Amino acid sequence: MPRYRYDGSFEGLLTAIQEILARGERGAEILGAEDGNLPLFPPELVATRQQAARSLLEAFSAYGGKKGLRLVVLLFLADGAPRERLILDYVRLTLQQEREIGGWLTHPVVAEAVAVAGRVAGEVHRFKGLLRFRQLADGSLYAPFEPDHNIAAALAPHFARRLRGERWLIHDCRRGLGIFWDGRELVPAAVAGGIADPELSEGEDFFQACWRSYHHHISVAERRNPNLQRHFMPKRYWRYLTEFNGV
Amino acid sequence: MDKAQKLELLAASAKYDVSCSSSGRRHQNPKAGGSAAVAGCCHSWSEDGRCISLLKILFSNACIYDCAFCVNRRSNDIPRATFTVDEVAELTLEFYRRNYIEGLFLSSGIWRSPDDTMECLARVAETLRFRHRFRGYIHLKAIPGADPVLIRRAGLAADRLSVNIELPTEKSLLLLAPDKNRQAILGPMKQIGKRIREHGAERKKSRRVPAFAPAGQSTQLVVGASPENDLQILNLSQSLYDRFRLKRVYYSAYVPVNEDRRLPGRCLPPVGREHRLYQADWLLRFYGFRAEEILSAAQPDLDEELDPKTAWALRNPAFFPVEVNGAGYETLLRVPGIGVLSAKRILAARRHGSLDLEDLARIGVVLKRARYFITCRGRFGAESGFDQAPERLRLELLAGSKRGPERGQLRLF
Ligand code: SF4
Repeated sequence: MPRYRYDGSFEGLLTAIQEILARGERGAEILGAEDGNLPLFPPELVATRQQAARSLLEAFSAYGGKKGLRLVVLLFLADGAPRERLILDYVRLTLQQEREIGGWLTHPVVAEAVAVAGRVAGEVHRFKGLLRFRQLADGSLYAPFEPDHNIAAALAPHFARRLRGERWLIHDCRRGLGIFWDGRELVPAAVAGGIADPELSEGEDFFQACWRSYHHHISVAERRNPNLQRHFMPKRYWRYLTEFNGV
Repeated sequence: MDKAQKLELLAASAKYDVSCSSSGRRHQNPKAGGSAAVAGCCHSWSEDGRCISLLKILFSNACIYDCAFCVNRRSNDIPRATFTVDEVAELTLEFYRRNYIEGLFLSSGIWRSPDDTMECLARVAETLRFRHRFRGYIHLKAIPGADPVLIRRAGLAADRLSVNIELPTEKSLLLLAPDKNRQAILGPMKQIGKRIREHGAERKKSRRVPAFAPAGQSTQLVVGASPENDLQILNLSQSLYDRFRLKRVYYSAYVPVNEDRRLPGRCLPPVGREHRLYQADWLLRFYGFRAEEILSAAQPDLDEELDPKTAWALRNPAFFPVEVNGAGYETLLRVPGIGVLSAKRILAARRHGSLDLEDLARIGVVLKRARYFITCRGRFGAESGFDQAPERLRLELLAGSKRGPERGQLRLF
């Protein structure tokens, strides 16, 4: 079984897929940069070629359209799923069918891809609500979080619209990835994992306390239902939520 | 009283208000900061499991009226507080920028007079929208009896307005909210509905025309404080949707907060009933049902054990079975267990080939209920289909749903 390794970038993956499709290989496997297992037969290293990536993307979009493109990007952000295989299969099937296949849920390739992409999209949506900013001493806003999937870049444009006039940093503490917004453009940067203990603005404690108090007092005691609360807001997200005394 | 204490008090007073909607968007204004509300984006969930998307507070819990079911009524001896316009604006802005909320939902007791109250609410919205260029969502209560000019100002700054209808009938209103009357409630509703239509039509011609409550109007009523049956309530909702084109009617299970002869005694809030009403309401708004299909004089209350769509299906065996490979969208939606998402998936998957039962399961259609009511390529979904006696089918459906998520978790379909 032919095996390939790429550098972990989206373009790198597209290059590898392009290679596989051009050679017409079935059952090929693509390993990410971080897949560390050393097999008996070392995988072939694919050098990223922007041109190859772009032409594959164009060919794919001609059939898959915006919908297909969005799905592939979401898949690429997925964690804990065989994303390389999912993307390879999905792109190949789209090109074979010469049409958009997102609704073909009876096909196992489509079903799996749509399910995984759905989980990623769901988390992006969730964090549009659950992300919490704190105001730092210099007036900028800071939002640490630990999403299951690598969604910081997919989330950032939403906040660029919403908090257009502010300066902020969204920080994926687990992956050590930050996205800065300076009021004009989004800038990704490596930011060491774990949150430092930043100096907060003068009003920060007050508004945090207000929010916690509001959160508590809005609930109707007669209808208390902590299970339902956790169903919507699983515990693993609580660490960064201001309302639960989060950091 | 300081800001924090006011917030505590005026959030607690607002909590019985049930609506948590933040749907509908204001058109993007590239010059101002912020983005419009995303439909249904929850920011948190309270301990009672409700979605929090808005800062929902009262401007004041002082009130000159004396509605029987309300904590804030004049005759209750409770601490009172009133915000200032700037305090509400500041809290909203600071909460919004930290991403605690999607916007503001501001209601109020009738503080001093309907006009004074309405003017304060309008000024909060104006301060946020025009002074601070706030782009989040603003929902204001329109106060019955307030000057139409003030309501107009409110609508020009807010995304949504709502007038509470409070109780299903005039008679109950008279008994339980003696300071209010049906006309004073329907009047502003009519006015708001008319303005929404006019501004909407004008804006189609010119973007210069300002938006008026672009997210529409809604209302709310208390369920279980008065003797009306579900049919009366659904008929009311239906006529509000038809006549005033309301976006939503919210139902609020009555929570006893006052001892009052006119009210039912101590009881648990009728949460189950509220849930069934929401399901029935959903059928009106999204599934093309009419109130008279869901309930009738012979059956004026919703089934506690079965959701209203399943109950309808059992009463209408002639409609079934539905062939999933041929039925149109509206017909699919009538099948118990098939919701909007499933119906759309079926249509999409059908374009790639015909479907059997396994295919349906594969694309995520929950068959627990649906299988009794469908055929796939002419084959029945369940061995014992709807052709058996409705009572037996009912029992079978109930047995299947005993430990279903519906019991504890109140979900819509
Ligand atoms: S008008 Fe009636 S329902 Fe509204 S706050 Fe006053 S007493 Fe309560």
